[in-house]
Amino acid sequence: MSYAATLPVIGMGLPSASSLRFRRTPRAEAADPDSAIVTALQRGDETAIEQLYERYARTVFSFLVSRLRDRAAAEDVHQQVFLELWRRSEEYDPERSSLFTWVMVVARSRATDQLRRSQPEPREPDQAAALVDERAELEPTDQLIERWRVAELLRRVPAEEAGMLRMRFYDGLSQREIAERTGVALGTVKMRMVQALERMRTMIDEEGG
Amino acid sequence: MSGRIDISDYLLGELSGDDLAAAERLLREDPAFRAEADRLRPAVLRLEELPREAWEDLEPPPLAVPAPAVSAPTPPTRSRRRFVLRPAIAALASVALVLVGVGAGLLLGEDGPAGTSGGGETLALAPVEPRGGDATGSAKLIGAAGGEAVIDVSSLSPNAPDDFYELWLLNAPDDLVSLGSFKVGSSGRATVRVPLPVDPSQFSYVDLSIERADGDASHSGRSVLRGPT
Repeated sequence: MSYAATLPVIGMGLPSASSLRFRRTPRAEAADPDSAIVTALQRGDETAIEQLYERYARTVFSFLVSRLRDRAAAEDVHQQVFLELWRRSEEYDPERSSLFTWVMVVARSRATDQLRRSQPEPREPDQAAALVDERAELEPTDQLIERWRVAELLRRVPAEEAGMLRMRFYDGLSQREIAERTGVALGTVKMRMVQALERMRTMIDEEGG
Repeated sequence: MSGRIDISDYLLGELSGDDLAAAERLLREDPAFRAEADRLRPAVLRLEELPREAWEDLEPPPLAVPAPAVSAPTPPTRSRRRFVLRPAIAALASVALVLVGVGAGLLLGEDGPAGTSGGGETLALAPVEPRGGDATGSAKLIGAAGGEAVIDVSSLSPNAPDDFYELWLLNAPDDLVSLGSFKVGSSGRATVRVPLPVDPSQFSYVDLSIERADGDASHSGRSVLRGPT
């Protein structure tokens, strides 16, 4: 069987960059704070992009810096991402996936484009694994989105608890060291740590993570 | 041993010796302790997995496109998408967009299909004349945008140093999406997994072309395999 006579002729000079079109998996939280943004997007409300930016710009930027390892490139791509989100907002279908998933899929695609530009030569098969490891690209999309969803949730944790988590998981301090650094009683540190973990777990559950 | 075991001490790995043994005994014997540990452990694991940038509260650049300056999107439509070559994309098109790796295409191997997970119908890819020859292949499209495609190809001509294969979703010459690129060695076989940035159901065909590493990111017009989605 051949498609030579049945398919459009693909000639030179065609664009090859992605033309994105997204669909979503069902979500039904009426109280979802994203719903106002979705409504605004679907109405073509010009404030929608500002709302979207306000909500997700930091997480997207952190992801881009993490992925690209180049802050200047991340800033450029960040701009591309939000411009594209706005331009393609009519294609977003809230019945198919969450707003955050849509945002992160676009961000990942644009980050991938940037990596491709920075690595223009195709690699031989035996070089592929090294490259993949180097770019930490083995992570499937759903795992990547899930990972950064947790980062996004972290932004919603009250500052006191977030600070506790940061000292533990980013600074690598023990609870005793946190108590010494902050002057807070060790028992209180432990209590707040459990509260923070409880809050994270609850949010992860609520977000379907 | 301190005499008191706090769940946070256990979850954060801050116990040792007798205290750790006591915590492990509690896990076995105290359902409430075990339940709380089980509940909180996933949160600990996910926080431990976060990239450092996730904690650093990096300041993003300001939104450089004020909303009033952007034309409002058109209402949702079911009509066919028409590819629009934006300036930023045109700039991209001047660069060779080629890479082996997830996101651009993860080459899983040359020895036949790699394990794939999830659903997705396996689609047969047929050779496109005159370049297809004896090439054969299949594609599995798993999920919509955010999903992945796995293609398994064989009997392809080994790549020369200055060419490579590129995988596409396409409807028409002006309506296509590049999914990723890879090279094939002397075996003529490859299994490639790529993420799907788009819903493949919006496209009619999966297409594999051979491309020159000449900096032109457009489709070469030299298709090798193709199959309906």
